[in-house]
Amino acid sequence: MSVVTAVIDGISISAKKGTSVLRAAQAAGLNLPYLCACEREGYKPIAACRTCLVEVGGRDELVPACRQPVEHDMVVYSESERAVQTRRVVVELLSSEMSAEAVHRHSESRFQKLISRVEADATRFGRRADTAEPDRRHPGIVVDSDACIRCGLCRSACQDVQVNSVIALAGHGDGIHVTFDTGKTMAESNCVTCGECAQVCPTGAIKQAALATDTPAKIDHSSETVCPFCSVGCRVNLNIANDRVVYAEGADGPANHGRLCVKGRFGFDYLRHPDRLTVPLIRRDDAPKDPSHNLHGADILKLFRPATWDEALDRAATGFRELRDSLGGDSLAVLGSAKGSNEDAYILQKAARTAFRTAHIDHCTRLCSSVPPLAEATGFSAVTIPIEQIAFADVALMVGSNPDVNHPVGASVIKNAVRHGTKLILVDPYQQSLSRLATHYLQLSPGTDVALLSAMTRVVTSEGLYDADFVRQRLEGFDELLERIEPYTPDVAAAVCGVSAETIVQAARLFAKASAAMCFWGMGASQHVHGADNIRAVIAFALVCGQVGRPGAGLHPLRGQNNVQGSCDAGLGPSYLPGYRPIVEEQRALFEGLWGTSLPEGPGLSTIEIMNAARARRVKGLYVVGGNPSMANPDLAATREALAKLDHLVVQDIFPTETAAFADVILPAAALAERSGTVTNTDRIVQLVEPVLPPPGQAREDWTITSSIAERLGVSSLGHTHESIFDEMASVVPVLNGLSWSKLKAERHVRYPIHPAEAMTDVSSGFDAGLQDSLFAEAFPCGKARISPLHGLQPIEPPDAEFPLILVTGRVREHWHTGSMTRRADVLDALAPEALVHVNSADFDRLGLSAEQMVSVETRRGVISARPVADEKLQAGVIWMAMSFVESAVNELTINKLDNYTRVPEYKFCSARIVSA
Amino acid sequence: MATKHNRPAPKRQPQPTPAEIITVEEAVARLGTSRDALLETLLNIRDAHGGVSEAALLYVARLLRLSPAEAYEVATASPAVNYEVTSRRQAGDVCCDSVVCVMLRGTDSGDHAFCKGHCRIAATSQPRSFDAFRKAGGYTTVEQLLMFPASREEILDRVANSRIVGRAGVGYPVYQKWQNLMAAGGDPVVIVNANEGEIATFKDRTILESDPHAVLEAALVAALITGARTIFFYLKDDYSHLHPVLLNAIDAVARAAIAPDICIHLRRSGGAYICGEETALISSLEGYPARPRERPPFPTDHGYMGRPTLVHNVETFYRLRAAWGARMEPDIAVSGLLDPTATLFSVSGRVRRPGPVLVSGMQQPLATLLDAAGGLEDGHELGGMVIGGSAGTIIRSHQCFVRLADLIANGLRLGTGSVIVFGANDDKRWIAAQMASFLARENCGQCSPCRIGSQMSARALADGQLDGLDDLASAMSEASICGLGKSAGRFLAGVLPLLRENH
Repeated sequence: MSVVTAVIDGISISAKKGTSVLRAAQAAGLNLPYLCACEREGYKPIAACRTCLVEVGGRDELVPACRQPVEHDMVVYSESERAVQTRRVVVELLSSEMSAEAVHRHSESRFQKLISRVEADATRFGRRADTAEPDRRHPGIVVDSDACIRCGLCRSACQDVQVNSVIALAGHGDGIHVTFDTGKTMAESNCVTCGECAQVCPTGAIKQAALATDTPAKIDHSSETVCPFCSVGCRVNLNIANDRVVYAEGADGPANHGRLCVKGRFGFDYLRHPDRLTVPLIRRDDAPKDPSHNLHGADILKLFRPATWDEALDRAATGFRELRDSLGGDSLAVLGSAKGSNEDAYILQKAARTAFRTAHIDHCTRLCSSVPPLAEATGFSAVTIPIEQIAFADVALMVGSNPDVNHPVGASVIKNAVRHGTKLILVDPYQQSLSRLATHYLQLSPGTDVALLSAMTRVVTSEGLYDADFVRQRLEGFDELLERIEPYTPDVAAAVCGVSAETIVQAARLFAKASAAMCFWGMGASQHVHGADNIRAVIAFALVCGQVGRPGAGLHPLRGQNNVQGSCDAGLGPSYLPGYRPIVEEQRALFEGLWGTSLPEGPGLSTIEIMNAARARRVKGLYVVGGNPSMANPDLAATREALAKLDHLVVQDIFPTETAAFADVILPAAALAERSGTVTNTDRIVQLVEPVLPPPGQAREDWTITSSIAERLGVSSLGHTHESIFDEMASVVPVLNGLSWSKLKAERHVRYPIHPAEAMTDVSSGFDAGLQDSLFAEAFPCGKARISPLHGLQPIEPPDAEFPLILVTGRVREHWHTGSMTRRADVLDALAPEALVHVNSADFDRLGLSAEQMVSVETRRGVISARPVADEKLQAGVIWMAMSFVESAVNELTINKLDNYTRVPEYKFCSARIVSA
Repeated sequence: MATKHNRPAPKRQPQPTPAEIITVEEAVARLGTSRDALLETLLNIRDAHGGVSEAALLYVARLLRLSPAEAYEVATASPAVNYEVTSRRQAGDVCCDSVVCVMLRGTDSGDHAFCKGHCRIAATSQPRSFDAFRKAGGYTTVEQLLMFPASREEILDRVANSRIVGRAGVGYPVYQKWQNLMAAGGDPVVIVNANEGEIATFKDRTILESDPHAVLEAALVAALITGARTIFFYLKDDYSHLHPVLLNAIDAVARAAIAPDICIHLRRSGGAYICGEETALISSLEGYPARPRERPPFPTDHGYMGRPTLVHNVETFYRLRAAWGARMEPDIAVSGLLDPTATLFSVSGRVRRPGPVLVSGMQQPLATLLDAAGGLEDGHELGGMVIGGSAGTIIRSHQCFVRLADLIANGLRLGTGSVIVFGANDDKRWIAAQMASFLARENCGQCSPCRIGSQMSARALADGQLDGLDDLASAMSEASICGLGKSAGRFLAGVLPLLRENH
């Protein structure tokens, strides 16, 4: 890194070569005036407002400080008479672009402050006439075109930073103007409401609706937390007034660099929603559990009465103690959530194993399960490479993932890389928005991933494009792989998948020949009865091409919830102990020594199996912390039946979830923004959070409630403080080696493993990754990587004459999982207020559907009502629904069949029909 | 929760007509689906359907894999595209709104005889054909370079010795530009800038109408010397009559395999003055709106698609041929430009026969141009001239009788050589306001001093409110991104004393 020194306004500065004069000055504490610049990652200098012009010694012309790099021995005068005079006139010209009313509406804006600062005569060149009231048709953002000075920063936000490319700077000359798509309003446009434009607009022309009122709330304080809505782990700054979140802004986190998506921007109403649980509740004696009940929200509360914490905890613990003591711990099960903190997860699994004495502990990661096949192949249960490394990848293969909807900020990183030359190979039955950017878009038929990837692998092996050295030195199972893929010629795969053989061959070659290629996969791959096979096929393809262990080369399962990684690291699963330690004698002994008690035998049941066991009356007591199986599990009628059969159900949550309707005791928990702790994102970054707001009413942090129950079950002192819990977890989880609460407190976020070599040695040998983000340059934690054989299942319920359509489920951008949080956010619910059943456009017409007419969507398990919408991005014969709408819960329809390795249900394939009402 | 909102169901996109689909598919088959095909594809739709509908635009965007907004920006920043204007218009049907035509016909005339960029000048007769050009020795330098690559140095030396400078106004030495390009390495591109957008300027048009192959020859020589294998010919959209001429010429060069490894692409501009600014031109070719980019980096380092890019206008290429020995030919009037002291003036306004006038040397006064143009229109006395186009200089009648060399010594810039003659009864302030409003209309709109400043100055000149314009003029010339805004500022600064004198 070369450093240059220069003088700005008489002050000597040194800056990294390439730094702009504006940034270098800011770093030195000099605040040069500017408008259309933004220092955040992804913003390129626009230099259109011309307010940052400075004089530079030896140059004839004034130069924009935002664009001019600091050069050695450069002398900059930002306050020379010439610069000051020019700037003032420029600001006066810009000021004339705003109408008088608009100035009044946005008197606190950055631009108005600049006008005062440069002592400009704001009305010297007159004012634009008031033409229109601000456009308030969009639920979250107000567009006030009379306040626009056409600086183009919003366009840069939309096109360059978030790469949504909805905002246009249309027209020319004086007619140039900000607009959306082809001259639409923001509400009519394809805007995805990330709010980036509103965050950066210097005049208030684009503003979050909460701020664009006549009397905007006076912000009391603001502080940062980590967004709870996906695994990207964006840091978000919450601005609080009167104990409520007024608005959220992207903060400069390691994963988001100030960006947010629609949920992170508008999703925080839930914190102070009136439905929040604020007191412990005990089921009324006159409210029996009825599996035919399908209650929501406030209706659930009618079944309960308030109680003191002591009474509720006693009742909660007593039910578990009686079952445990009479039937054994095996009759109990614990379901956690990947939405909690590492400390919550660690204490919950510790309580399950030591106090509940059960091995049946699992959490909602089970429903995603994108990582186990990776662990099977490499011995490592996290991404080998973070998302941002795609900038170094020549090629990225994405299978069954729609990050633009489910990980939007991660997608912005991916889209930026593609804009700068990374070639994208997209494999997805749904023609999602990234398909526009893909070099090869392979729109395969649902459920045919294995055939496609096998054929791609066969292309590279048969053409000699694979990495023979890598295969020889670092891979096991290659010969068996060759045998397995032999039948999958491109022509065979083409017939199965509906992708042309030529495309298959070209995509395979492109990937194999790349000097660095990354693989991403998501729920589209995993949520099948052959989900593990799908992922095994992706991993095998990547490994035979040697695409791992270099910058830009590696494997990235895009994880789901905000703390999936940490919850798994903490041991919140039935088949391993903390740190993915196998449940074998030696490892059990380690924890028995540490925790001073014996541990239950063997692997326990997984999420869906627990519910099946409850229905079979083998599991009789269940402790649900933060999960909502009554919306999330497949075949909800069966799930409700299981829940109703339980002798004792304790639900601990922030809202009365559909699951809580079957509870004996409901315990009110604090939300993530209301407490301290650590969370680990998909990129293996552990971040520290601190409370932004206090928990409402009597709500408490999850781990303290769990500890209180455990204490009543006879196990005291599970954990004392966040610090001691995290440090204990770090001491037993190898990948966290070298991490401590105090280190996190100092650094706020740390990517693990910080000592990759040591991190793995006590689980396995031969690991020498080196200190880098792309792991496994030399060896895998398990030594050689293993290409596993496939189990070979096909979709369990293919379409037939009775149910001729394929139903695929997923999520919409605005809603998070079962909707318990996001449906309670006004803007999000206004943007996506109802369940839509997406139908291929031709099918839509053939079936004579109308968007005005609700239809019944039926499978062998149930019927729901939804509004149909024609979607040309879907294949013929496929319908699609999001899972987040309680009034049209698509999991009433899904099939309860599991992948026999990952135990994930087949959410992405069952047969269905549509019946017009 | 779960309050029902009456949100309208998502609308389906408007669908293009079958005819539009055919036009688009044909254009895309020819031009490809990368972003740089965008503008030309839209102009193809315009040619066939009079304009571009939203449905057609969305269809093109989908094929080129652009977002609707990305395509819309280009469509609306390019007046030539006629976005959502579907009434069929013949090329040349458009009334000219330049100061010349408005001065002559008034603002409310329905007279369609005066047409944009044509300034009452009829097209010259047949352009010299490929065969005739070959017979006269054309393309021999190209052949020489291909057969004897070593001759490259010799020709380069001749270009250096010729001291030819660019003719787009700035006067940058051609040889220096080539050196910069070659020093940048990489895969260079040569662009012939034929977007002659300056008001009342038709010299490049005159050259192309008469001798198109001469320009192609010079572009090929430049490409061979600098190692470029791609040439773009960027033609002003209003010069629609030249489009087939150039297509034929390029086709003839290709069929004769004059330089088989060099590909010449003909592209049309978006129809605005700013499209001719070289960085805006490059943006336009890449499929972005024609908006200038800040320099540095200069196009010779980082131009079309980041490649080193050489941009000269038509006249510069034409004159270059002198360096490798092209001679003046009596039959080809414009060949007089091979005389380095010659200037091709575009004379228009209150004269009887407006047209191109070739003048050798600077010893004559500008008034001699009047004779060549058939003298003043009946009933008019000479009021003065506007020299150099929209951001040019207004000179008074007595200055028209001063030796040109002396005017230049006193700071007059000829710019593109346009000369608008006005009469004693024509209001100089009105003319100045017209010029300013041309700049206000034709700028790209991205930077504030130019976009707003040119509006303010046009309004102020029209209203006669001349106070406080000095620092506006200064801010425009100091702060604008490109030459348009800077020269608009200089024009304002220059015209203020003249107008105040009048008051």
